[in-house]
Amino acid sequence: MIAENHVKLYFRSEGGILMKKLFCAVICAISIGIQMFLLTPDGFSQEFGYQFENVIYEQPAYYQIKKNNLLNARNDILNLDEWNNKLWDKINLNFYYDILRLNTQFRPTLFFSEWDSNKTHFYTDEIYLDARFGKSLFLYAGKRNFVEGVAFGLHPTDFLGQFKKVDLALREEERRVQREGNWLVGGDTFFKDITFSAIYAPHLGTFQDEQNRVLLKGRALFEPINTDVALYLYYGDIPGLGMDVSSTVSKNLVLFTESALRRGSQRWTITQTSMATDTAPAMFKFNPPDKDKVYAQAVVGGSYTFGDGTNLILEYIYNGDGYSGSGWNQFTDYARYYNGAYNSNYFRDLAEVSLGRGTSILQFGEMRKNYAFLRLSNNTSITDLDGQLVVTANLNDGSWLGYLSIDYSITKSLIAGIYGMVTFGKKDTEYGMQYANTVGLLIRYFFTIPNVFKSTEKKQARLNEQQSGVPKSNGKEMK
Amino acid sequence: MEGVRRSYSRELEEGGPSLFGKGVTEMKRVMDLTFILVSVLFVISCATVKQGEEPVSVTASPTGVSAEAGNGRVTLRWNGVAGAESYSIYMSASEGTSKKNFDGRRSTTATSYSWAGLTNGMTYYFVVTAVKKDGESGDSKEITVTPKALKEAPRAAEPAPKPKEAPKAPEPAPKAPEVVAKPPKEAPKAPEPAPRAPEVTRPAPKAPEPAPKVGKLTPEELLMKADEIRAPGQNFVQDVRVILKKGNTETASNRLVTRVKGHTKSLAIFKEPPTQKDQVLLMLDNNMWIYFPKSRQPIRISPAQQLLGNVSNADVARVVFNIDYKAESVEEDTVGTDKLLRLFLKAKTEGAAYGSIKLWLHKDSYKLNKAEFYTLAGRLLKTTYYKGYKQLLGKDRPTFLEVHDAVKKDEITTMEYLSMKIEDTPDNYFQRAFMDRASQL
Repeated sequence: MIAENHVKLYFRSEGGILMKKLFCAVICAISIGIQMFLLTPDGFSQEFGYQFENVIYEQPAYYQIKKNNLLNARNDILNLDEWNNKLWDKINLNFYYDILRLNTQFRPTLFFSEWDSNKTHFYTDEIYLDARFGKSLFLYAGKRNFVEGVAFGLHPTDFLGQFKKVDLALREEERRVQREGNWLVGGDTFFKDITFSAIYAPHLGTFQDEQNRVLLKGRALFEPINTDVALYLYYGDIPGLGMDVSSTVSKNLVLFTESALRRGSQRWTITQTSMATDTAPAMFKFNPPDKDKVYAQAVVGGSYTFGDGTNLILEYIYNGDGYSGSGWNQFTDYARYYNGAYNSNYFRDLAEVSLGRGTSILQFGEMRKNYAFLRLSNNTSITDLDGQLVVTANLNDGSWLGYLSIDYSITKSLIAGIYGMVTFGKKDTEYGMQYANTVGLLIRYFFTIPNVFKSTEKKQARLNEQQSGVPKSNGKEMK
Repeated sequence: MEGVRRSYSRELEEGGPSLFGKGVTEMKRVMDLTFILVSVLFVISCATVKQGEEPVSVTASPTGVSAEAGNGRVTLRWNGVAGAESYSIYMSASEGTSKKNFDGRRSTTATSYSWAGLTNGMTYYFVVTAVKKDGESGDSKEITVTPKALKEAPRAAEPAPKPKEAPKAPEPAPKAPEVVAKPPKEAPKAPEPAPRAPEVTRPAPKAPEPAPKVGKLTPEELLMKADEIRAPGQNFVQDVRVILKKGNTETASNRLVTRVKGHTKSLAIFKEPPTQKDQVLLMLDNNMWIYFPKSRQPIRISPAQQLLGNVSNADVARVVFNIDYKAESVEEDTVGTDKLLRLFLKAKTEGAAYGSIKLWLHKDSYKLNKAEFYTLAGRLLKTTYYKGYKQLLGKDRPTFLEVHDAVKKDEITTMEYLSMKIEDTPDNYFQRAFMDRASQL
């Protein structure tokens, strides 16, 4: 909400004018790019084309609000809706000409809910120019969303995107694609079995408020041992080193690990400074995150495929930045105390503010140190039904979150799905503190517009017609 | 909800948003940066152009290009260009052929060239350029020609037409493995280019107990012959449609374009249906990844993780058996009136999708007839019938595969080869990190 207000304010301010200037800069860049093509000896003979891929999402959802939630007492603190509807369009529109490619992803979104009037947003997830030099070098500039890592339950090496807003109602694998990217410049260079990348994402005031960030990546495949390794070096607000490894162990089993060593905690802690008296409430102190704390985040897991195609992924997740037992107890003591105060009308205004503050430091999914993640799916591209069950268990307090999703392909372009998200656990556990259980529908309609310029597609059509590969006889002519 | 909480969290940590004044300075900085980057791109691009394939040409293009259609070949002639050291001939299966857009290239020092190994009935487009010390000329006028079968084509390769000038021999092709076998008793075929020698390791010649032979070929040699029919070479691109049918009803279908390199490297890009467009399957020997555009995270998968129903990933990503299987024995067999050879293949790699395979080949032509695929425990999984033999890239090849599930009797998966062409894909594209760009190919 606050981030959205920033955006609105920004466009009304001097920054908005700068946006226009930036837009002009991009137009200039594209113009120079086009002139660059014209300088090539055979510039006019190069293909111009575009790719337009579009997915319309319709997602009505119902929430079963937990009225006895510790932080959201009586649903008064957050005033959560019992239902809402989100309609959005994910548009991927890419233009290319010779060595240049302009990639974009937009998400115009219409959101309406029980209490809110209609809200519209236009998310620009990506808009970047990608230039290819020879067969090995790619340089890019603009807004881009990178999805890193090999694990599923936690993404320790997702350095550039880990604090971006995601839609938790989507399947785990889709969430990180539908988020806004970072403004950056960078390059990838490909060698046989090895790739290097360098990315610089500058601080741009409120436009991109993170400090200057640099990410260096190297990836290598060790084919004789069926293993690939990626190394990351990240400089930024929370600098770190990262590594992911994945390996095919047998015909059915893949093992993987993804880990990072970071400096700079994200965790606010709470300590009680005074006890309650008859005339004064208990006092608590919020301690800011320790910016020098060094900690590890790691995921170790495996993916096993059964004979019938069912795929099971199991992971153990370690989050070194999670609360210890005592730290968590302090937090729940705080929530319990103000929940009681709110419900008994004892310093109710203070309790309301305090519960709100407690809410602001809660991030489900990684509050504690130890987790288990399970994903069971049967995802082949040739069956109509696609089911997925995801369970994330907090091994420290025994609470867990389940996500079940079943998709059915109605036609080749239309998928309808139902999903549910439920939490289990005592009131003072991580998932027990989740505000609601959810059930929703997700309908997706895919469509593309064929490229009218791309001669290779016309060429393909001709080839299909001309080459004898079109077996009109369906094999009857076999000798 | 998560986003809201995280925003609160960031607020608390950073003490509110940055001032716009600072933002203005930073915006200026990023604009500077953008211009610097564009300048760098510009300079690199110019450098690439200068060092690249074609400097600006001052050489005249060849004129008077004419073509004569033959049986599986085309003979091109043109007027010589003064000072030309050699000529390049570019061929494409669709119009708009140029030195930047072609499917095949040859060079010669003569003013004529006979291009063999073409498919009769298919239209080809050619242009010719002259090559001098100072560079290559522009393209000649494009010429269109369709090779056709002669009414009574001789069995042996037809003699090359005699041009006025001494023709230069075609580029030497690697020699085919020597096979002592009778030529197939089939309808006359277009002369074929020499098959390329497979790179794969041949069976050790000094095996303690040589595998039994039928005729003069060992089982491994027979397998090579069968593989040569399925794969047109080391590096090629094929377009395949996979359809799953239950009874007579089509329940699902995919279209994949697969780029194969050296038999063990392949990159399969889904083109249809829209819900799966731009998914990419990468296979590097036993290493396999899947990339979904909806997740953008290349995921390593195990060979058992099938994505296409009865058709294994390997079936679309690899078209030869000898990488994963060893031919152990061969027997003669008769099916109806067809005289066949039955090969027994056993998995030799971890990544092999099946424990063993029985493969039936036509005795004379080595064309695949059918194959039965078994688990390690010896349970029949499926039977594939190889049909729709057509002339593709100089050989009769199966273009229609019918896969019958051994358990679900009413399930049939078909693989229809829509096109196949020789094309080399750079080695460095067969990487996990390249998968998000693969759909651009």
